[in-house]
Amino acid sequence: MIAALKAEVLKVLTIRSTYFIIGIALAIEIFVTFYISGWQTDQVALHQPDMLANGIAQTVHALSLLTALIGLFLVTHEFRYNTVAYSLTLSNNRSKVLAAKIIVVSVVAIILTLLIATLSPLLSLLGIHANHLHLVTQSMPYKNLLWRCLFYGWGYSMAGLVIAALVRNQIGALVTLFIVPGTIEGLLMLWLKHHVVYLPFSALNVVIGHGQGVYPNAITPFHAALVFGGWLIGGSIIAWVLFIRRDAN
Amino acid sequence: MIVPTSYNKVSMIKVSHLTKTFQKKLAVDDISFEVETGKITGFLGPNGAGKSTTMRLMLGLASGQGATLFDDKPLNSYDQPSKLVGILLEAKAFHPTRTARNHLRVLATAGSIPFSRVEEVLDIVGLKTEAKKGPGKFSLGMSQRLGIAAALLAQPKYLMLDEPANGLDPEGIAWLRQFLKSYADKGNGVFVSSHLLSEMSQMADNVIVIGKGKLLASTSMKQLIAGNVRSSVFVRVTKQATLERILKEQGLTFEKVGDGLKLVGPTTDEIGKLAADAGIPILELATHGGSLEEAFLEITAGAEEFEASPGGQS
Repeated sequence: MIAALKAEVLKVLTIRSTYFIIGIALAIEIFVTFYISGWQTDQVALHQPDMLANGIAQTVHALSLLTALIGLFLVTHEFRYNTVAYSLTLSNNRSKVLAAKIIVVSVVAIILTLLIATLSPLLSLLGIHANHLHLVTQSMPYKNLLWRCLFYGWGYSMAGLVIAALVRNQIGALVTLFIVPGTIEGLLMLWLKHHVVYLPFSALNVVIGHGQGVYPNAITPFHAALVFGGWLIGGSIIAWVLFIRRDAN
Repeated sequence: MIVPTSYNKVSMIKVSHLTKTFQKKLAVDDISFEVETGKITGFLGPNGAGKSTTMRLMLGLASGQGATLFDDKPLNSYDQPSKLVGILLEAKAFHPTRTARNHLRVLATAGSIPFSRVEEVLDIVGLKTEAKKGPGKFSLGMSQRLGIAAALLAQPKYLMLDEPANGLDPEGIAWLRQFLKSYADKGNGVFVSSHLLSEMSQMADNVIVIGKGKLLASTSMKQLIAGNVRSSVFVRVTKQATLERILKEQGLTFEKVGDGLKLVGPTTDEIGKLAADAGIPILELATHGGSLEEAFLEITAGAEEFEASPGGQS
């Protein structure tokens, strides 16, 4: 198992797309938090005591899709480039290979989410001070914010990995990851109304506090986390069974 | 069908009743054979015969019926399967931008193999100078070398190589032949599929032939050729008409080939004696042995999945 874990870490660290994705995420974060939320922020925002806390949640919400791509690629590259034959014959158990991917993607997602969440207020403050603006004293509900951000970032990456394990085709998995959260669940909201929060990505949005105006107080973030967890467990079980049983090609 | 020869080795790959169906079509139909250690076993068959599927079934990469035992145990019962079998199933099985060295390091890590071995195999296959490059732009031959390096990483007891000579230049093919021979000579088993029959005939000790998913032959190379192609004698003399008459008197059939005669059945000794007794000077007398290609075509006749129309007619 340790060997499989080390190999998955090495896979993440030795492809260009990992660094490209992190670079893009950091560039977007610097632009949004330093320039938009910092340097160019308006007076109304500067007088809100939860401006930085909201900024953290919004940044994590916006950038988790990018970190999810790392998890998605870790699976789909195997099938796209047929390296899965090596992965499965170097290990004596397919479950170990999938478990190693889940653990490594989880760790990468948590590290990147922490980095994004930490940089967000720092860069915003830097932009505000650089433009000689004054920000009111901020309240920072650390514990509440930390678990919601980490759950959201981790959850999105897990969703990417599960979608990749189910679909296997890289383009198909990317399309699914890009259209299900917004387009598909958005359309389903027309029918499900506020019950849409019981769909996985809408529930995940409730966890991070995004779209509160769309489905206000339908469920608490904690309950939304449970809803998403249920979807994730169900999807993971199906993905695991298919990973074990399907031909590796 | 040629019955498998009896193998007395303890260690071998034993394939029993492998069967695989794709959407009601039998891709592999109850195939059983053995791969000995210390020998190269060639795996032959026309396109679409089921060679790659059989290899994937053997490795557990595809699901189907039957069993494959490596030294009497399934591959997944070993703690480190890479120490037992090294594979090359596809030349381009790598991420195109991950460097060749890193590709091998990933595999080495997964197999608990030290990185020093990566440098050794890069050296063995002659890719040391290309190790820093992404293999996406490698030629087919270079990709094959990288695949061979991956297969050799753990110094496995068995090698399973699917068309390893594809894309290799003549020098590379010669190197591969020598390398696999020496690998087998060290007591390892080599199982290799190839379309290059002349190459296989120089390399393989045993041969497995399949067609349309069925086992057509599992025997030694010598037996395969001897059992399916009759050798002939070619004779060229100064008095051909006289020799023809003598041969007819002896009840021997012959065929005129160029300015000589081709006979199937008698030996050169017999023909030479007949000509000498008649006082006919012999200009040329030679045995034409059967080739693997002839044997292969004989065995697989009617077992081709895809058949081209003669002369390229549509």
